[in-house]
Amino acid sequence: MEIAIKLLISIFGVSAMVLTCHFFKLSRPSSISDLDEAKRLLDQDSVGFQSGASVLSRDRAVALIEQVSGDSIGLLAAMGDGVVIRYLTPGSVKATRMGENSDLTIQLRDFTFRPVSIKFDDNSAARTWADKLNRMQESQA
Amino acid sequence: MNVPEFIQGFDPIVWAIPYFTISVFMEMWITKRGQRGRFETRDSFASLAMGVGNNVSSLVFTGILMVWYFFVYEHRLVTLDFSWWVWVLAFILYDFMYYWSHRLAHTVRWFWADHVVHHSSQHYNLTTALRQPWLSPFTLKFMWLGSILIITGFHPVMLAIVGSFNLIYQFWIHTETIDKCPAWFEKLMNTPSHHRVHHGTNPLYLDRNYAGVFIVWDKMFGTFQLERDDEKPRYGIIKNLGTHNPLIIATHEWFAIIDDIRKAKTLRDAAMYLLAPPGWSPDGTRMTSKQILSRWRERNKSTINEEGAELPGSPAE
Repeated sequence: MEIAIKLLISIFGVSAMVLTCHFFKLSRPSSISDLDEAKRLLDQDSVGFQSGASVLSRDRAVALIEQVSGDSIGLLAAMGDGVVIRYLTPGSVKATRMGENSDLTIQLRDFTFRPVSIKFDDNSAARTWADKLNRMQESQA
Repeated sequence: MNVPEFIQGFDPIVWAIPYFTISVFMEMWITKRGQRGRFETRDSFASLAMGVGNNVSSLVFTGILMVWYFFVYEHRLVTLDFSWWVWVLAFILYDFMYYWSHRLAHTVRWFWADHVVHHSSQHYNLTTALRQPWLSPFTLKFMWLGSILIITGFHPVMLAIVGSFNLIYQFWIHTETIDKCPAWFEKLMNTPSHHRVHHGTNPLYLDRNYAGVFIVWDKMFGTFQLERDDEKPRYGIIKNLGTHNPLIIATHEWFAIIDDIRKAKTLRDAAMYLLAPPGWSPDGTRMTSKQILSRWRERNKSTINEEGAELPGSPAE
């Protein structure tokens, strides 16, 4: 009984804190302002990442930056009020799917990273990046 | 050794719940006023859910742990009573043990798989303090953290209480709303500034400031780093999580270890995936904290040559 009461108090306390956080509007959804910022974030995260071809989603939520050597692609995705980064190498992409309005959905072999959609300016750019990402589906091993 | 009546059934954590709760509301209020701090609703929910889960886990495992601790106590070398000086000594020694346990939690992947939960938020606020693992007993660290002091002669109940006070102390340092404390306090004690460094993923801040209560342990054992004005901490882990799902937060590193071991080509590689520092890989495609720092220092060295600038990351004061 005592345990149940403690648990109920905890759940009540957590709910009150989360609701306060929500109603205070403390969350500020993040976005990637431009490709320069995306490159700076990559360089900061992976010291010395040599940025090559790059693209920023129309909604500024996702960016893709290829390493000059072509060995990997940096994927940046806005999450909450921050940005989460993944380095895509052969074997790390599970699937890509072209959608309407030049959208491309990327699913990784990484259960800690939800699928993200990138909105391209046109279909040809979407196809070019889909090809690059599809090359990251097969493992070299 | 009989346990004094005044501590029978005493749980400092339960008494500290109002302090935890009120402090979180106060920090949110300060952040709302735009002064300092940063919150994100889903992140806070995840942290608090981890805290509740940790309590449930404690309820499930405390009985088993206490059986172990009393078994060890039966074989103690000497018997220490409940005098005031034994309490003080227990508090200090517990913190010393905590330092080493915490250091191992960052440098041995087996222990990191558990502790990573606490570091997995990209925010640094009081809810982050409550983001605690659910599966700690499986690391078996209780076999020696605490047990060493118990076999020395400290009573398990005394250690449970000083351990709780150690944890309560560490709550308030998880905040950006407090900049620096008085100089004498910063020199002796763990503070928000020192602990922000510990949660930073900046190469300069990786694997620094392991202290629980007394920062002197880091100064003694060469792991201290002062928070720098020109190096604002970036919180989280090297490979930040792209989800707020508490189940994934609690288990992701365990699954990563299993996956790595499954793919290991030799027994040695499998053992290293478990016992080497996080980031170790046989082919060097991943990087440990030391390797990241070394790469960062190398790059900044070239910046100095070109611009004559002062070396960032020079040894801390």
